[in-house]
Amino acid sequence: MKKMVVGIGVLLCLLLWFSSCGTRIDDAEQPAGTDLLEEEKELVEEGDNYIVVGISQVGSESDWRIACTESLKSTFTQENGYYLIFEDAQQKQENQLKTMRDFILQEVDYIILDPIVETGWDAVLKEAKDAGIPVILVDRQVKVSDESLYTAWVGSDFHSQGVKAGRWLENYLEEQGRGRDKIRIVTLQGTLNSTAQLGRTDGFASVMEEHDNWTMLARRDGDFTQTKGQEVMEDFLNTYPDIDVVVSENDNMTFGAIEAIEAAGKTCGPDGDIIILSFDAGRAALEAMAEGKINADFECNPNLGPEVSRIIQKLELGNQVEKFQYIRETYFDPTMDLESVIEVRTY
Amino acid sequence: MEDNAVLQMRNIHKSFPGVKALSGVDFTLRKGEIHALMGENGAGKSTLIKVLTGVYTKDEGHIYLDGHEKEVQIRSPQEAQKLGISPVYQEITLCPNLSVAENMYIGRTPGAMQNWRKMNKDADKLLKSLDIPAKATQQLSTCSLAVQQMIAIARAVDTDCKVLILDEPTSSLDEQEVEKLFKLMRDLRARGVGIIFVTHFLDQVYEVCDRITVMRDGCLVGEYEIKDLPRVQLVSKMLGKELDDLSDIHGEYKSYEKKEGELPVFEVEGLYSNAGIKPFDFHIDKGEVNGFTGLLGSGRSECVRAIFGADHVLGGKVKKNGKPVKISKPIDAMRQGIGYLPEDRKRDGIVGDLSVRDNIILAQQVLRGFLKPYSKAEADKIADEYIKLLNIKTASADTPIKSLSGGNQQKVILARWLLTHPEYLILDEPTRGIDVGTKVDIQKLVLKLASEGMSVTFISSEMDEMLRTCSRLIVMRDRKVVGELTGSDLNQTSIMSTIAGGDK
Amino acid sequence: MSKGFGSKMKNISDTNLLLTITIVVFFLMYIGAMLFLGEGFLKPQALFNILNANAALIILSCGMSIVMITGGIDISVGGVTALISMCCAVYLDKAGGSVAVSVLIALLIGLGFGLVQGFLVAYLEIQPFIVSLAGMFFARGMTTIVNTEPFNVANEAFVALKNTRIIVPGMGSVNRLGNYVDAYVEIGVIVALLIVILLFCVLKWTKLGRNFYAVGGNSQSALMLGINVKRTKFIAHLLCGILAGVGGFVYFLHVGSGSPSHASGAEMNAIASSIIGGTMLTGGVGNIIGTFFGVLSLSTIQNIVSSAGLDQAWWTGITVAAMLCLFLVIQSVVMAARKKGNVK
Repeated sequence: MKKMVVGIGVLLCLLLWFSSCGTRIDDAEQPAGTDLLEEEKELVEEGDNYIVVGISQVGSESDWRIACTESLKSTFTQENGYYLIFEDAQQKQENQLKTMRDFILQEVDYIILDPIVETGWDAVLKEAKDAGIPVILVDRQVKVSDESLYTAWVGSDFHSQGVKAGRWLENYLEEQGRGRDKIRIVTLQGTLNSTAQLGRTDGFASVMEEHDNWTMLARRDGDFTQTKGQEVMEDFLNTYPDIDVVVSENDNMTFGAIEAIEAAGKTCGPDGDIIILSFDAGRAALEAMAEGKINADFECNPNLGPEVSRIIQKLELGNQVEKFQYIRETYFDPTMDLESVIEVRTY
Repeated sequence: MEDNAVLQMRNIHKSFPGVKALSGVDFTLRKGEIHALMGENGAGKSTLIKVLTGVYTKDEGHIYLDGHEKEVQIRSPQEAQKLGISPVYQEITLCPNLSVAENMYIGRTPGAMQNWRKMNKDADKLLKSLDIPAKATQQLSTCSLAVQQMIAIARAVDTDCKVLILDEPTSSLDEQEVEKLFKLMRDLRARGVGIIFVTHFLDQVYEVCDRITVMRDGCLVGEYEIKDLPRVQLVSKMLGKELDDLSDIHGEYKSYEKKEGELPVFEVEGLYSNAGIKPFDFHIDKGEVNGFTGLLGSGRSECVRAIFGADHVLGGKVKKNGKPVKISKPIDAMRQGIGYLPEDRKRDGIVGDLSVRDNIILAQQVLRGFLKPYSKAEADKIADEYIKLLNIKTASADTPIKSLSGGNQQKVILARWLLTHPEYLILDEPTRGIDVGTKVDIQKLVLKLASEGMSVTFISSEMDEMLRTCSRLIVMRDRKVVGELTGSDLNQTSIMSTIAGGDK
Repeated sequence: MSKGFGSKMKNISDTNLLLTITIVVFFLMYIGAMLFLGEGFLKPQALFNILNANAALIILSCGMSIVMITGGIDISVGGVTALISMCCAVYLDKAGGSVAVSVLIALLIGLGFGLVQGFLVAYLEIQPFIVSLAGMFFARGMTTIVNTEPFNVANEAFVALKNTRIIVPGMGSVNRLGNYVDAYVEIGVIVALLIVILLFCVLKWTKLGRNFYAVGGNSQSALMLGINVKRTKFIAHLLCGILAGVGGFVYFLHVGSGSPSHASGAEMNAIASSIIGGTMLTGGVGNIIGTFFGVLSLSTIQNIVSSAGLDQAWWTGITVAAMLCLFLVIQSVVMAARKKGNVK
């Protein structure tokens, strides 16, 4: 038994020594900054030079998320000169932290991060900075003590989306002649503490403040999924008999809410009992709107890939980039020509 | 009190609800003696041992140890251990995943820490002194069963035991392993350990024991010195038959007339299975009724199970009407026209929750295959026919079989096999636990079937029955066929002396 | 197999044989990864990262192994971990408590589960699977009751502890900027290693440890050999509970937050690690060192999968499943071969 313990100890030490050997040899032979993966080494000889990009994505919990992932994957292809390592964190921050540390070890050229929650990133961002790897945030934002820890952020102005929704409702009620009525509102919120949820909730709330006759009956976490959205809506319908407006912070939850409402024997949409406002404006939601089930949908553009790629190209050339870049977005309601929009909708 | 006695049990009584297991049994064990404890089914030997090892508490009686005046009370297995009574059971009660040394010492050394070096050293010493071929650091499961048995004994001996109880230690051992075990036992005897050897192997008892205690039906038959007890006498005491009894009986039925040159219906050569019987030869003619006899555990059931393919057959040839056939599982035997009524009808026979009708059509249904099920009308007709034929007492053909009496259950199983119209029917203890009237019915039925050309093998513990129905008896001892008796030899004396064997 | 090797095979116990297989497979995998998948594995920090990410799992798996050795199982450890992280998070941030007390809370929670489950399994003789299943549901439910939303802990003393790095001298590497970065491990890793060493000693050199093996090998025999089977099983489950407490706090220290979805699937990972490490589900065979390597193997597979460019989320599961099956088959084959070689 003793022999075994000694044997294992020796093997482990050898392993570590061997692995550190590897590092030292690498550094001696290659100049700093050109550590590449095996495949890349071959390509370098052929004259190509890939930019290695590591992406840590939140998960695949909603259509919007999947569309965003598609956009990223189709932008960072080998044809475009990138070598992509993509990791799905399955909604856990600890997975993202681990992934980032792996990227740092693998010495990727750029890290793209869509943070699941806002806090807890200081340490790992500092590690990336010390290792000389620029971090670009997409979609959600972080709260850090040192803003220089990340290079840039690309995403939606969630606050603005929330405000737009509030303004749209204002106008709509005026048109309907209900501007003075008591309006009862419930909100299906997205994953709590995510940037999207915070922005949309606050944005809408800022408009609500201006209206005494609007009451927020309840706000609950629907986790951005259809199932949870349906559950929460069912609960709301059971608790509050007269709901006028449902603010659903993404399309998937909206689908769940519609199911719950119809199951309870009520209707929604322009001709219905309940007004539904949704966010994301994906194809499926627009089709539902064409069927008359949704009153308005506030776009959240998931096609972030090209924008990020532009940023990276600028950085490669050594230029400065703007810290915060908002992507262009609009809104949709049944008064518009939905058919032609749906035709060209990529997500 | 005897000077040399290490254990004395006097007048032990023990009852369980409805059954008196021990009635005033005495037992004495001397220092440095190997003492056999023998008895047939229900004799009470295991109850006596359990009283001694503290698993049961006696109702009445006294136990004295080591010549002390005061009697001892044994209320639990731990107390028995402390008093120096060590049982070693048939199933190895050791842990196969631990080392040999660990098995010898675990659970009985003081302290919280494990001292490997000392344990291994002590173990090696003990193993060497008892000449056991094992190493202290070996994992127990890498030792053969015999060696494992010996290690269990070594542990018992090391606990400074005065009384070592070996409960059927040789059942799973082969000849060489048994020899090794005996050598160990003789060594222990030389050291003054008293050994109780519970077994049913006749030859082994005569090979290694000094004394025998025979029990029957919960009573002590007697204690004898081996050198004073001829084998035949031992057998007769165990069976409860007097030597002089002549029971020669004629059957009421005419026996089947065997044609000249007709080949036996079934013939078996060198057949043996994984149940431990030695390869045996066997044949049965058309219309013949024969039987297997011997003491309990001599291998009678195992032989017929090998013929029927119920145990895993390891070798030998089977011929039907002179042509070789392959029987490796019961369905093969059934297709060859053999039927088998098992010894343990509760376990291997009835399907308790099914109705009488379903139990009857079961075997024949299997033979027909599942694509040709009996219609309800057909099944009802068959059931009614056999219920009448065998006089089965049941409320209806739909009654679940488990609510019938033992005798009627047996009749249903018999009906099942008769329905398959077998050429050869094996009945293993068909009359056990059945009332006298039904017993006679079954015996008569067997003879009737034989006269119509069916071959039957009849196994029973009751010698009278076999003598009444069989025309040929195959005698077994210690899982070996030791003789065949026909004609005028069919009497109790011959049977018992053939069972006993050896020198008188 | 020559005669000499054959007899050496006889002398090695089941436990040690399986351990050897596990260790060999792990080293083959890791060295293979170093040779063929380059960058990510060539730094010692890669190994340390594996330790950092899995310190808690190592501790939980050790507890699981002990229970499995006695022939039982405990699938509540994941739930208990989540409960501990939520309770401690709430205590630190909402009740403004101290880190020391939160450690105590963690241990008490683990101890509580261990006591109750141990009692039910050992003395009331209820199936361990059922008991720990109930424990798991209870723990998960309680986690949500304590606080429904996940949140990161801001308590300064705690965050400082979480970010403490223990430098491993001489194993650092130079990064692309030319800076030398020291290799480091988190506090949790030290705790995990200490526990591994401690439990290894307990299993090998104390009577209690040997009793675990005996009870798992054949509990009837163990009883006949004079071992208090009930007490042994009780202590095994109790130990697993306490280790869930320690592991739970280490997990909490690593993630720095409370959430109802923490440690989901952790009990399955603990079981998988134990099996890969050579612990048999049937009991009586197993060892801590193997479990340790089992955890490392699991993580290495994850890293290999992602380095190879495959989608880690899906392919890891499939590969781990394949590896588990492989190990189970190896275990049965090896065991059967040994038994066959012995029946004379």
